[in-house]
Amino acid sequence: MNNNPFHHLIEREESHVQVDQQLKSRLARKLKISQQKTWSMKPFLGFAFAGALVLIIAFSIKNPHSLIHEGTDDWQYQTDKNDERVMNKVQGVSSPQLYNPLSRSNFFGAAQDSLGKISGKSSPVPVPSSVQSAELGFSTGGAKDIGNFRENINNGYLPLPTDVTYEGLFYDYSFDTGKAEACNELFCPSYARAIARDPLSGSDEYYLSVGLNSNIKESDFQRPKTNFVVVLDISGSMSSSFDQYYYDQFGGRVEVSGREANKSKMQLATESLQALVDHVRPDDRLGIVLFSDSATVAKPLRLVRDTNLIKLKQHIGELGPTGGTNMSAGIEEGTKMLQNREGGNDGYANRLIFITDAMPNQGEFGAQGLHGLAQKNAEQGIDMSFMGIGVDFQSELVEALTKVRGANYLSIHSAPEFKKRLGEEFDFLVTPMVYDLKLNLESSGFAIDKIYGSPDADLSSGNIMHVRTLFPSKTENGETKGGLVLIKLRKTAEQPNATLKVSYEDTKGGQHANTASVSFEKIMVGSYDNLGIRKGIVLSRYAELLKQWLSGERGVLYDDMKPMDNWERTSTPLRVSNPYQSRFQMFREYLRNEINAIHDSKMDQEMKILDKLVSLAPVLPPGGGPIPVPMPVPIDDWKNP
Amino acid sequence: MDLDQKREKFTQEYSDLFEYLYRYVSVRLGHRHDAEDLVSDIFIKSYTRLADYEPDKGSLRQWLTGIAKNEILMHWRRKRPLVSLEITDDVMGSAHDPHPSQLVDNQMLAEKIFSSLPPATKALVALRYVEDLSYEELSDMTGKQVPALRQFFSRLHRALRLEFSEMYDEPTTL
Repeated sequence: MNNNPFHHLIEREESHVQVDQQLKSRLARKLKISQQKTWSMKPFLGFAFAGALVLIIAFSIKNPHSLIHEGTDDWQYQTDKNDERVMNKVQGVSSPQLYNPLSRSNFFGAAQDSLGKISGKSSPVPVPSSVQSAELGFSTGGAKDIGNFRENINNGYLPLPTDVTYEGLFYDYSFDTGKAEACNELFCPSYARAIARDPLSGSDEYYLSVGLNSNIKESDFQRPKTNFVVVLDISGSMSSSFDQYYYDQFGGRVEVSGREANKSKMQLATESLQALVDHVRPDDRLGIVLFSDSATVAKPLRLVRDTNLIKLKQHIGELGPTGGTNMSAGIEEGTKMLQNREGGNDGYANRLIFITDAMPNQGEFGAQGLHGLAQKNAEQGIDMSFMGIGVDFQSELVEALTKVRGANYLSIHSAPEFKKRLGEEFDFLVTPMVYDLKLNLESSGFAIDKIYGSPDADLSSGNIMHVRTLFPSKTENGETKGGLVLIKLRKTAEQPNATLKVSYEDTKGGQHANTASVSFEKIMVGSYDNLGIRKGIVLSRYAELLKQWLSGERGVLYDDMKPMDNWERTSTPLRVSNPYQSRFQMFREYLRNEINAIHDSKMDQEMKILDKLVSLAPVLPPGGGPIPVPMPVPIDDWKNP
Repeated sequence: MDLDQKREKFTQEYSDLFEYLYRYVSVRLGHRHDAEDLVSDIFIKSYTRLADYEPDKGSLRQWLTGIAKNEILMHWRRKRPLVSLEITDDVMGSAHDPHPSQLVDNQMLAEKIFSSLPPATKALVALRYVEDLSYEELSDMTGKQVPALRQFFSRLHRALRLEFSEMYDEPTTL
């Protein structure tokens, strides 16, 4: 077999693989091995020793504390491993007295209206450079993946409609933004047009994509110094294993058999927090708040370079879940920590990072109340990120909470994957750069019908598109991760021209504007200006179909089932009722063709999901009527006389 | 060789080993992100299990390849990537009815057929013909039926016979 033709072809395929040198270096650092060949180092050991000595002296002059102490172990939360309440992770017994360091009254002492104004937030430093380097693009805030949707499908559960978001799906992919010329401003939109026939309705639809380009070189991007307060959920629901629901279909708790079961959400959360600690910098500040029935400061806000990170990680690893879920207490305690920090108005950015399954059942847990807290924080310059854990992560709530300026959320599926993602994106995920982007479409021939790829579609109306926040995003081979917002246009008259006026605000409050024109004259059905808009169209149609299906299924289910009183999410087996079986089949063919045209193999994951959905036994429609039978294929029975 | 010496050897060869393994895994998974995860896992696992490495039985590269092969198979079984067993008809058509210019350079035709396959399907070809996995093993990994796999490889063989008829042992390997 050695001479078979495939050896040659596969060897050539291997030689074409471009090795990720960054991964190589990261892995070398993780393994603590040098990539230098040691034999070549021997002659230079003397020089290396002298050089190292000079560096150590220089470093110690600049950082006098760095060599003489290893940082403060300022952990305050007492974890008693023998405490029955802590060990009883499965039952999630409520234990309001568990926290010893601060009295309960302290947790709730701060009334919302006493929140002080935090200002002087520092800005990222985009310094345009003549050095050749990859430029960054932008992506919108809100969801940064649809991981929770994927995990529910994988585990045979019916996702929530909010598990699928257009912006989350878009951020799973990179887009050709259609950028044709150098960008000279912080934000330079580029536009592409398409007229595409809908595979299900057969109607011709007009689309305009907005490419989210910037003038920032990746090498020039610097995340500002930031006060990070991580608010970690240690409530009882975090005891369930990652791939199981804490509550079953009827609201009863699922008994999880402890450590022998799959990894618990709590383990995943603590491992993720340990990974996150690796990404803060010496001149950032880090604080940690824990919440269950109430909230407590586990680690006060302190400069990272003054903190003993080794001890900190050990303490994090010892945490266990207990009690109810009082998310508002977590928000308030985290906010208080940022307001009362040392240094005052020192130009640091401020971000609360929540690691949670988002199932609050105590304190303020109305969506409006929690949203109010998030909104108030945003107004004070405290941005929020949510990192959702578990298949029962409540995306419905977090989607509402992150509809504020500067907010986003992502889901955590596994600690290694999360670590990898932090390595690639942490600085981008915590650095908003453009605010209040508004696009005004001036045309007598078109109106905005719908926006895809932005969490702020609800703000858009008539001829105005509004996006609250843009975060930097990686651009590779001319494609930007999540770098597209898609506008579906409604044709109102035979007038093909439109003027697009864009305005936005930078992080220092500076206002910017630019104008462009587009025309749909001589554009034929089935033509796309580039593959970016084509990918955006197929993905938005896919997400729309999934959302319609999930809303339909949930609508049927809610007729028969009393929903729980709070955000605790109950499990529902994966099901597909007609007519979605046949719609998925039709859409699958369309998706297959589009994948072939677009050449993005990552989209195969969506084919796999449709394959799974199509393979499920169809469920009887509401009312128990017969399942519609597909129309028979007409027979050509013409006979020549 | 004690553990410290093995570590030193691993360090010395790390750069080459990484590049080799990255390519090896990427082609056999057909998915870059998954491949990166797996390569990281393989290196971390192998480095922590370096004491198990027996230099008398082969090079570090061979040892790592063995671990990688195992991990790749487990990954396929766990994730069941979508594999298309289709070879597009226009490519097959050109194989059955070759244009004279294609007969001049049949290597191009072989490459055209191979390059028309999606990455996961190319990976399947690598696992069959480089790693010598049986149809049963491939079926276990992909969830595809053995007859479907046989049919796919049979079509592939027919298409490639033009170029490799002399060296081909198709009838015995099917």
